[in-house]
Amino acid sequence: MPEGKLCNRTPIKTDEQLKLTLGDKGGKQYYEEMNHLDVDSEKLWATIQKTMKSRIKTWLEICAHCGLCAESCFLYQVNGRVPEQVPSYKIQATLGQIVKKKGKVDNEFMQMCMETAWSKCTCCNRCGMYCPHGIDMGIMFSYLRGLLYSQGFVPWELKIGSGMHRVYRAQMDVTTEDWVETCEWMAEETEEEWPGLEIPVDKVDADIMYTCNAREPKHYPEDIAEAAILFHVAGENWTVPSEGWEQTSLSMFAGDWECCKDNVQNVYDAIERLKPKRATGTECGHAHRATVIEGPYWVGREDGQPPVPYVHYVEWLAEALRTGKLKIDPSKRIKEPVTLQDSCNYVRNQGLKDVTREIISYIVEPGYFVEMAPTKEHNYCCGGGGGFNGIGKYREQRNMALRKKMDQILDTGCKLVIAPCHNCWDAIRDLEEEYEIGIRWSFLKPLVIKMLDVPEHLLPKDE
Amino acid sequence: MYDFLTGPMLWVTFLVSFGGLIVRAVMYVRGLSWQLDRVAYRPNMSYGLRGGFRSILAFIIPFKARLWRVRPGFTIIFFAFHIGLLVTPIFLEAHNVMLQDAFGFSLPALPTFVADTLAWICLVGGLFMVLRRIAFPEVRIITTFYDYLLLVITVMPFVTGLIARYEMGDYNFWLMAHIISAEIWLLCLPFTKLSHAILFFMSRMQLGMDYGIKRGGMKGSDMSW
Amino acid sequence: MFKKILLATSGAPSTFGAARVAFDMAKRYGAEVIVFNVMGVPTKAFSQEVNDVRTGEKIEVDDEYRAWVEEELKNTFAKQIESVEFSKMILTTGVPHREILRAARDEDVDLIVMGASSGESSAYRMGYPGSTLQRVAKAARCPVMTVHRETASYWGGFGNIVFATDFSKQADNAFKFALTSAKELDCDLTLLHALDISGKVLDQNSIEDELIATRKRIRDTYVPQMGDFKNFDIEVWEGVPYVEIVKMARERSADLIVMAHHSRELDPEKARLGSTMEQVILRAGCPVVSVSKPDKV
Repeated sequence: MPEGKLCNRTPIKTDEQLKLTLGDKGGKQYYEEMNHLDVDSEKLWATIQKTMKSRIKTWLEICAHCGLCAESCFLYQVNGRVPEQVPSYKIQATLGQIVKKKGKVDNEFMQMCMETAWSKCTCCNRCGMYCPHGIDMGIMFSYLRGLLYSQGFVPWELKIGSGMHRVYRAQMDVTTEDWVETCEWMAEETEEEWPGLEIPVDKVDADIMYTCNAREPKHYPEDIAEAAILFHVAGENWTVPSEGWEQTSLSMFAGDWECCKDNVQNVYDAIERLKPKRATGTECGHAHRATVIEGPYWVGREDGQPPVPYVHYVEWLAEALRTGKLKIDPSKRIKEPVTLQDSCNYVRNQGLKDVTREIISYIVEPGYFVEMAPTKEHNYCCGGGGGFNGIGKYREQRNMALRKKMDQILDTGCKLVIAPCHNCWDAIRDLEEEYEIGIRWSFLKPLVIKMLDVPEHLLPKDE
Repeated sequence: MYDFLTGPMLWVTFLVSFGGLIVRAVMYVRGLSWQLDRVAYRPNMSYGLRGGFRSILAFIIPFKARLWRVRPGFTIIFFAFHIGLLVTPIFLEAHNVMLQDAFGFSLPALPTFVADTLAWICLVGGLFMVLRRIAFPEVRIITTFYDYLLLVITVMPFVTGLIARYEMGDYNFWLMAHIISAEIWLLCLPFTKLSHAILFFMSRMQLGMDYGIKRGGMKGSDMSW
Repeated sequence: MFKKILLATSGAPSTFGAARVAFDMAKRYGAEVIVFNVMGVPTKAFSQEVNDVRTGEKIEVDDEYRAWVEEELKNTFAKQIESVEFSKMILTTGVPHREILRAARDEDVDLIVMGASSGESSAYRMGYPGSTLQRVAKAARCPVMTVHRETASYWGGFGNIVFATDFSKQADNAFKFALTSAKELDCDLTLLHALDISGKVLDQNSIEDELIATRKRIRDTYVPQMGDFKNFDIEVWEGVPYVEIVKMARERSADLIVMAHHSRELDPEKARLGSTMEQVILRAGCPVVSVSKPDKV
């Protein structure tokens, strides 16, 4: 049987197919069908010939087999340092082999590749920093994921995730109506405490356009309210688009490049329509990576930049604090040992290491901030990146991966972790659930709101 | 035989070897694709170059990149091996005499003691490289026969060279062996993994440009390797 | 005055009291009951896998499971559902307080009825402070009724209402609700202010002066709004607020306590410990309604 009803080489494009795949509890039928999925070797090799150029080809050829990448990989460290977890081995045994065999590989091999690409690598890009040749295995695994996706060998949840993006242009089934409704609702709810607060939808020529993660309207609309409060207090002329409001990209984790491009185009179209001076996203790492860092290239922008300056939320927040748009009441700053999670996607991969620390300098009482070790761009993945958090089949491996971050947090001795990234936040929540080390964790927004020094005219008229 | 090996054969060897390396470098650059690599090389060349050079320097200077700092033992052996490997042939008195004869100029020659030491360091370094491939599981699993072969090819000119230098056995034989093994090594450069002689710089440059343009450089944040 | 009642239930026995009251009210006053259940809190990605709200264990929510839960709930409340004319069931996944608020808004309900848990369940803990009740009571546009103790649910309609005020703006809204209820349901209304002397030792004369002044304040604040409604009493007692409220309710055989909810304090420590409202809910022998917004009064 070349292709199954659920597991096949066709991306999910309709709501019907989406619901059908979702209904398959735990992906049971899906994975069963995967056992019978044929490999289209010709297509595979043709794709590689078209898309694998100097960079990746040379990486595969030039690897000196020195093994220095081993210790750099947190999955190697946390899985008992077994040699099979050496990044070079992982990529050579998968992508390297596919190239050597010119795509003539079988189903079993591809399933092994799937397991490696999605449970033995989170594409954190840390290995690339520790290879003398600068071989970035994280990028190669991302490339491999693209190949696997096009052949249908992708984990169930990510096939759905990519499908969600294709059908809803959001990572969850939140329609434009749902989104606008939720914005209105949150504005209503928050207005009492913050008179004059609005969530303007589709306002043209605003100073800043805000995009977020579909999980927020779906389950945690407080996040939207919090963003609104901060914009409101900072006096920002802001807006959200009714379409193109979602900037995440599970399709990036899935390797569905076509969908990635469409997602980004969707957001850029919103920018085109609303003409803001700049845009910002919510506290999410991969959303920023997909829409701002890699995005311009997917949609073919030659300068590699989004249509307007597009900053990460931490950049906006740091600027607001720096320029005094948001003032912090020093007596309400954090006065307990607190540490900071460096999200791979915008710290290692866009250098925003100092921006987050600048924010910390405003909101934490001096002397209470404890760095993780190692820190900044050398910090480790939270354990849940690259879609790891969402894949049921690899839950065990993911829980194992959390241990590295757990050890790091325990070493700091802090009970509070600031995690300005949805994935990291989830991973740390799961870490606490699984290992119960007694920590609390938070995004930046709620922390900042609690300690705001609100100007008189913005306070509600009290009894 | 000697004349042939140090005459036309040497010319061919250098041409193929260095020419080949240049060809590989050029092919590498031509094979880059801003869209597939997702790095806007041209529009942001200055950021790219800055990132690229930082990237190269961090790894070509011992203990600069964090990688070197967390592996001090390896770093010392690794750099010593490469220094011995590269410095000795270029500044060896014997080679420079030949250079003087052929072209009328020569480079400063190393004192014998220094040259000997460097050659031995290269040998010992090579030996450690072999040993670590056998001893460390994370290296063993990815090591292939090819890796050992390349090490042997690289080290052979030094083995034969030292034997000849210490005038052990038949001098002429070992001299011939030295020249042949050296020419084999040179010819291998463009066609094997030894091409990292030039591709190291290419690859590091590329990654450095990536970080310099897309992954932080343009935000004013340098990757501190 | 109650056309739509949202009964938020986990199906657990601890919520039976709330269900009893909700269905009774619906029957008595011809309202529609919406049985609302949050099956679990999503753990990852697409909310397929959730942590069960009661047990905290992981479940996969699919059509089968959903149907099973619906069946269970229908059986649990079979008799009550039969007794009312209009009812429907809504099942969803998500963070409980958020989903309750969402449903209440979408359905434009006039009252939310909940069984109060202490909110300690780890399934709720998402790093957000405040129990489900606190968060629902704070943000709901309609009044929120809580039925905690079993005894609080045995009643025979509204006859006596105790309205406890702290003179806040929200208390104004709560008063409007209490008054409307009293008028429409033909009840006796007690207006109570508990003078907080907890932890202090004050001079008795000054206490009594305060009592008189407060009584006047109640009269001036609320009586003008009553129109020709005459079945009311004004009481001011000194003590620990929640104790006084519970005692007054007991003494008057109250069927309903109406209070204002206005704690902006979401710090779990501050909001939970000693919050008057929480204590009253835990101890009252009748349903307690919290009102904060003027929408559905």
